[in-house]
Amino acid sequence: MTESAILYDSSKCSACKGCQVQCKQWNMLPSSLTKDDYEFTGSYQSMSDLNGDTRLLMEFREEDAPEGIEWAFSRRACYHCAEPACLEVCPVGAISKLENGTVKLDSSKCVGCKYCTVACPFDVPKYRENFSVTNKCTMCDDRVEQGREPACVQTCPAGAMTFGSRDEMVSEGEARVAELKAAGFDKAELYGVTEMGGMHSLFVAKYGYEAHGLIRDPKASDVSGLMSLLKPLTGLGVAAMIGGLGVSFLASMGYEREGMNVKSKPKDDAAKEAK
Amino acid sequence: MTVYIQRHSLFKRVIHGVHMVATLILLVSGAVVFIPALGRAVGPEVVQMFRISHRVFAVVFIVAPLYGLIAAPKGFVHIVKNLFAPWDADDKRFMVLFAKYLFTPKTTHMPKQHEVKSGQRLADALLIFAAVLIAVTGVVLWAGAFVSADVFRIALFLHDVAFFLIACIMVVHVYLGAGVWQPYRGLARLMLGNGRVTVEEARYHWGHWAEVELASGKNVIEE
Ligand code: SF4
Ligand code: SF4
Repeated sequence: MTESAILYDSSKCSACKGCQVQCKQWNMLPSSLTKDDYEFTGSYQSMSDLNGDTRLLMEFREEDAPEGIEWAFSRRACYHCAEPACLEVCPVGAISKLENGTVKLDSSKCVGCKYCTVACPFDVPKYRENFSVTNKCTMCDDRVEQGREPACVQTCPAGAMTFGSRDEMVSEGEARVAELKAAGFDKAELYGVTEMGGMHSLFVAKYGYEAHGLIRDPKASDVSGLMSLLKPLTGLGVAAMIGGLGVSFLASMGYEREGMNVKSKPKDDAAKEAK
Repeated sequence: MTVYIQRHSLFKRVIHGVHMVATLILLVSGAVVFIPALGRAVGPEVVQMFRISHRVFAVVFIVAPLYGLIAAPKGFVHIVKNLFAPWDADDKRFMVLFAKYLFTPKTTHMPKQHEVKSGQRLADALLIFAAVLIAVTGVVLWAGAFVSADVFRIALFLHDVAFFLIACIMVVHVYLGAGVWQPYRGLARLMLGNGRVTVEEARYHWGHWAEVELASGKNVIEE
């Protein structure tokens, strides 16, 4: 099966949030029903970050452009990394990589330990409190399986998202970046071609990575690297202790002390001595 | 007739026993999440069961010593005093000789010790530090939905560091404390039995302490 990817083009996006709404609808994820539940931050952004019920969030930033200040919109969701840090650490195998590159989190297996959140350099998986599991974009694998596009892609009225074979998406993205550069947006870049081994959610960053809040050269969190060292180290430490003390035990065989009310000699030896 | 010294009270032994059971269950249930291969092998339902039992016994792990502290504050002060007792020449010599003693107990003569051997004071301090660290970070992890990803990350890392320390210390603790090692045979009953030592054992292990106890006679039992 060929690898597929979503291509998001921030230069075409009007930040209408249709994708955000459609993601919730298709995946039956509720929005808060409490009035003013999300603190107003002076931005059009719905909430400050992804959460257990929100797999896709449109982010609003501002950037200096040749014509003055302009919006730098970002689509924040799982990138479906080719080398997903989240997958490695999941203790129950709830995260798997599908043939087309989608990184799927199976909530029926998830035990809600949040190790994946710790490992993901983008803090993407979020804990869904009511269900005690972690939640993230599944690239609508149910739809894709039926030959349909992910819900967010299908709904985008501005045509800012495309879904197709990853190779085609990379070529399309690169061509668009070249167009943008020619139009004077010289910081334009395509995100996801090589990051985390190559992502399956690519991003045309009109104003460059930083302006859109994208992490340059992302890596699995340092802590999760240290933790993956700690695991074998613990095994080694315990084995070394057992080994060392095993030698001590062997070297101490036949130990006897006057006044010791529990004999340490093997029974046979003690019986022989008694004779 | 055998002369014994009562070293540990029933209350102390019960708290130790409860804590020991909680620690062992926590080590096993924690290992299922700590080692992904193990969790994947047993499947999510079993892992979830272990996670719930991990929380139940975490409460026991935290509450048992706290209860001990509240119910017997004098005993707690006594433990702390022993922990921070100044080291004399015998204490230092004990540490110098300990590695040799572990491998050649038949020919190594150890210096007399006070109520808690200098080596055990060090191990206890490390164990208490690791236990507090694992308890505090465990509470933070339990409250995971209310803390930031960074706080969760650091708590998880420190929880694992404490797990590493406790797992390693436990091996030595069981080897010596449960009397697996030949020179320590019989000492398991100190915490897991009637809490008594014979005078000969007391003199061998804690020479200074034995003399103090025999002189006071308060905890001496003849049977
Ligand atoms: S973005 Fe994070 S959650 Fe998504 S695949 Fe990459 S590491 Fe996993
Ligand atoms: S929260 Fe769920 S998906 Fe994430 S690592 Fe834990 S079990 Fe796996």
